[in-house]
Formats: sequence, structure tokens, C-alpha cells
Amino acid sequence: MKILMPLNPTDNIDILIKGGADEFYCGFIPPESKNTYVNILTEYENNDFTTIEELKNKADIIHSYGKKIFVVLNFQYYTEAFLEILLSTIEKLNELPIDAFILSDLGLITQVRVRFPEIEVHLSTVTGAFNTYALRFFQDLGVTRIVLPDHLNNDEIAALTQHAPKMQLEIFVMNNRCIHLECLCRFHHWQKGQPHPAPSSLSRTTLGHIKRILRQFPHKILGLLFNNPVIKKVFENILNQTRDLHGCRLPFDVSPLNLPATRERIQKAQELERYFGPFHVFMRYPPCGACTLYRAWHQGIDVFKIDGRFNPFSKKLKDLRFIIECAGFLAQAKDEKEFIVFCKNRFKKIFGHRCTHEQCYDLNIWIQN
Amino acid sequence: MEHAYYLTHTENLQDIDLENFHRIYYGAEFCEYLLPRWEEIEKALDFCNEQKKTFSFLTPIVSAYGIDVLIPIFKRLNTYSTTHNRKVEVIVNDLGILSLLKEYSSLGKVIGRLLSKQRTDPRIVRYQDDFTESQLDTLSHSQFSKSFCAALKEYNIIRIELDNPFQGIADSFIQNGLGVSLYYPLVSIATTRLCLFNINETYHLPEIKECKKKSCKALGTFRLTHSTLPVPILLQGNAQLYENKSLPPELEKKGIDRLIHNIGIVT
Repeated sequence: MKILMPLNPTDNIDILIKGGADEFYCGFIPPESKNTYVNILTEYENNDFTTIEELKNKADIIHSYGKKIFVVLNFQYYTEAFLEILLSTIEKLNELPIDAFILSDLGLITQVRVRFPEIEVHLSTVTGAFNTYALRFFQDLGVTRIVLPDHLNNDEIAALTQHAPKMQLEIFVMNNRCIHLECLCRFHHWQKGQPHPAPSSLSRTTLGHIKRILRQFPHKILGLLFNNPVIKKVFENILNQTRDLHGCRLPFDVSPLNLPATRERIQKAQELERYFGPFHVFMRYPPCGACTLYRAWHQGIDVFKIDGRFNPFSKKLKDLRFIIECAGFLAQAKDEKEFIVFCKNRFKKIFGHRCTHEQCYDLNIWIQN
Repeated sequence: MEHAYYLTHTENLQDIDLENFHRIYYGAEFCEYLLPRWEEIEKALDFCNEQKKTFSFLTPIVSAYGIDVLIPIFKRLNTYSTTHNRKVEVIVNDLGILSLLKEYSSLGKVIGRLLSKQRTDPRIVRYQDDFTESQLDTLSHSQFSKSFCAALKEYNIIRIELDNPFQGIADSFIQNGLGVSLYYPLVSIATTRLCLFNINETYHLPEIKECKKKSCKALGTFRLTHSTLPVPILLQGNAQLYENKSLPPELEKKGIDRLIHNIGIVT
């Protein structure tokens, strides 16, 4: 079993490796991409490597421990002109060496396989491989590992592993779970220096502080509080001031499109508005899929990925400790139920609060346990 | 220019005026749980025959569930295509389906718009003037590079399909030798398997599980509005779309030779 950790230029690799990390992945933004790339999450932009020298320094440390480092170049597409620049970047990075590249664009994958057949290619979750035929498709292209999409439930992952061609499969176990399919989300992520729909007066850190304060209160009380239109408006305004205002996180007003606006449709609109509204945004903890480890591991998946290149180092350490402890209990657990109880207890101990159904990767697991 | 009609259901087919259309699109583009039964597909095929139109079958991203549903459909479409000597197209939005279709030689393979990966955030248009030329150029491109098309050569694809975002379409596809379709006027923004119409009753949260209620069909479309959006987002089942009523100039110069009129998606 391998635990794959996110890495940014300031992370202390020695501590992460001593904590149990087996593999690392990081982003790299080629200097030539300045003002060309248009869809980097602000969080990634600030936490990806930008020079080959700093990446080499980290790669050397990782390799000195006998561990591996992968570079993510997974924009959903690249322009024809930029593909050439990227291929030249990959050639240079490969000399460090880098153990594998996590790619998404089909054109780029093909070009890398043709020009550098020795390079190991992993398929990014951003591409989307949901069925055995998709796994075969990418195997035929020379992909050796696939990061499965996070919109597959536990049973679907199990079914996939049973019929999968012989290749490594990797799943997310912490932090990664967007409302949209990553492979089919075409919202724009605004970058630093780009004109932005939000006035940028609130940083991500400030938003984090507000979330932490609110989470001290019981869910039910906050639910009632957010039903008050004035309070709801105040928090909507806070959200609207946030720098990282992604299309999926907008506090929408919702109404039925056409008549008749029946009672059912109005009720649904209210339910949708509540879902998109500030209550859910402020109360949502980072997603967690630790409980899915049990079935996945028994089905033969042995690479577990922690998301969050942009997370503070302290959070990464907690995530790693939590997953390592859960993984360590896999072989001892009598059954899934016992494993899940163990995970929930460790979660509370390490993160200081109970896990919630809202952050659970697989609501079915939550309901069953 | 070929014009295609995007059919969403097979009720009251006789009321549809197809005079200005050459082709029908039918199936499910976004959700595997909305794939039609064979009886419905057959009805649409018969309607096509009566009206002397050609037929394209839309497919979404699929899990094992969708594969099981699609295999018997493809077998029948393949037989239909051979026996009626009419080329049926399959619109592929999942590369696994492209791999599966290798077994069905009579079916035409078309790469759907969801695989274009175009940026279709409607907010881009508000800041269009402030982006650099290079950024705007990148925002107008898609995954359909020459390398992409070359990678799929062995799969005998005949056509690629695009969305029509506000910021325009940069590529000229003529050199690829493939047909190019454009969906109009509804532009797809995002799709999910955490569908907000497949909600767990106890926790009021979406979950990834087989959808049996299909309540999205009954409840119709919802408008999502926000001060930063130039137009409302239309939430229809597990898909988010917006309407762009303008067509890019000089479609033919870009290689676009088919327009898919898809207004019927939202109700």
C-alpha cells in the first residue's frame, strides 16, 4: 500500500516521509506559461513549483529516501502552440529525474508516449475514467496508473477493480470532492492578476477563520439562524467578497424556469437555494473518504491519494497521520464496521471534532454505519 | 450547413415540424440514468425514417451501469444501421464508449462536445476586454488539437462537436478532415454525478447511487442567478447550461458544417 502526498515548495519532506508518505505529487508551472495558462486555481498557482532548480532540490531529497515524485500537468487542454513548450518542459524535468507525469490532455499524453516512451504516464482524475472500457482505452495509450474520479461510489470502485485490466488504480481518500465532475466542469478559475468577478477584499484565510468560529455552534442552531433572510444575506455578502469565488460556490438565487411554478417546484427551488447558500458553504468540512479504504484495499487498490497541494503543512501532517493510522488498522479489522468505528474515533482524536455526513465521500457508508 | 433537431422525448412526435432539419439527435447527453429504453429509441428511429431524416444517438459519461444499458442498444443500432442501410451515428462523451464502439463497425463515431473541454464559464464574457490576447486565445480553444485527433485516428471518428461559449471559438478545424458540429443555443457548463435531483431524504444531500425517481424530468429546469453572471445558469437534472443566442461569424471558415438546435433540453 502506498500513500501519495501533495507537495508544495515549502513543505518539509523529511517530516512527511518519517510520517509515512511513500510518494509525492506536485504541480509545475513553466515560466513560458505566464499570461498564457488560464485555468490554474489560485491555490495551486501559489503552491506549485515554478523553477526546475527548486523542484530538483526536492526530487533529490525524495529520491535519497528511495521514494517517488510525480509532476502534475493536468489542465483539461493545451493549445497547439503550448503543447510544444510543455513537451520541452517535460523533457527537462525528466532529467531530474521525475518518476511519472500525471497528465490529462489526450493530445499531450499521445505526444509524450511517442517522443519519450520511457516516461511513465499516470492519468489524472481530470480526464475521467468511469468504466472498464475507459481503463482499457487508456491502457492502450500506454498509461500505467489511473487516478479514479471521486464521483464513483464504493460499490462502483469495487466493481471496476474486479474487471479492470492489469494496471495500477489510485483513489482519493482526503479533501477531494467537488460538486461537479472534475472532468466535465468547465467553469473558469480566476488567477492572480486576472480581472475578477469578486472584489477580492476577503482572503481565503479570513474565510477559514469565519468558518472555524461558526463551526463552534451546533448545526441545528446555525441552520435556524441561516433561515433568517437578513443573516443569510450578510453571509452571502461575505461569500461574494471572497477571492476564490468559483462558479460552483456561488450563492445562487434559484427559481423555476417556466410556469407553472407548482408547490413542488417552488419547494425544490428553496431546497436548491439552501444547498448553494452560505449555510452549506460555511459548515462543510474538507471531504473525507477514509472509510472507503477498507473495501478499496480488499478489492486490490493500493494507492491512496491525499489531496490539497495548497493546504498548510500542519493540515497535511494531520491528514497523513490520520490516513496512516487508518491504513495501519486495515489488516487487523474484523470487518468493515469495526474499521469504520476505528476511523471515526481516530478522526475525532486527530482533527478535534466528529466527522460529519456532509463531508463523507460515500453517504451510503455513513447511512449503513 | 446541416441542421439537427435535439429531441428530448418521443411523445407527440407528430407535432414536431422537421421541415428545416436534416437530422435528429436523441438519447441522453448528461445522465446515464436517463438513457432511453429501446422502445423509445425505435420510435425515434421510425420517426426519422418516416421524415427521411438521419439519426444520431447521444451518450453520456457512464459507469458500469451505463455500459450494461448501452451494449444491447448498440447491438440493435448496429443491426438497424446494416439492415436499413442508413448510417447511425453515436455521439461519444466518454472515451470508454469509444473503445466499446470498436466492436460495432456500422455505427459512425462522433466525439461529443463534453470531450471538447472548452471553458464555458459565462462570467468570462464580462471580463473579456481585460484578458490578454494570449489568455483569450487559450480560452477560446478546446482539447481538439491535431494531436488529439491523431490519437483517435484508429477509432475511425468522423466528426467532433463543440459548444458555443460567449468568448468564441478559436480553432479552425478544416485541416483535421473531420466534420465539426456546434450546439446552439444552449452551452454546457458542468455535469455531476452528485445530482441535486437525486437527494437523500434523511440528510438532504446528493449521493452517488442509481437514480430511479427521475424527478428532474417532472420538476423541469431551474434558473440560477447571481450578480456576477451575465445570464442565468439553467439547472436541468445533473447538468448546468446557459443560453448563447449569438452564433460565431463565418461558421464554414472554422470548418463547422452542422448546427444542433438544442433548445428543447430545458423545459
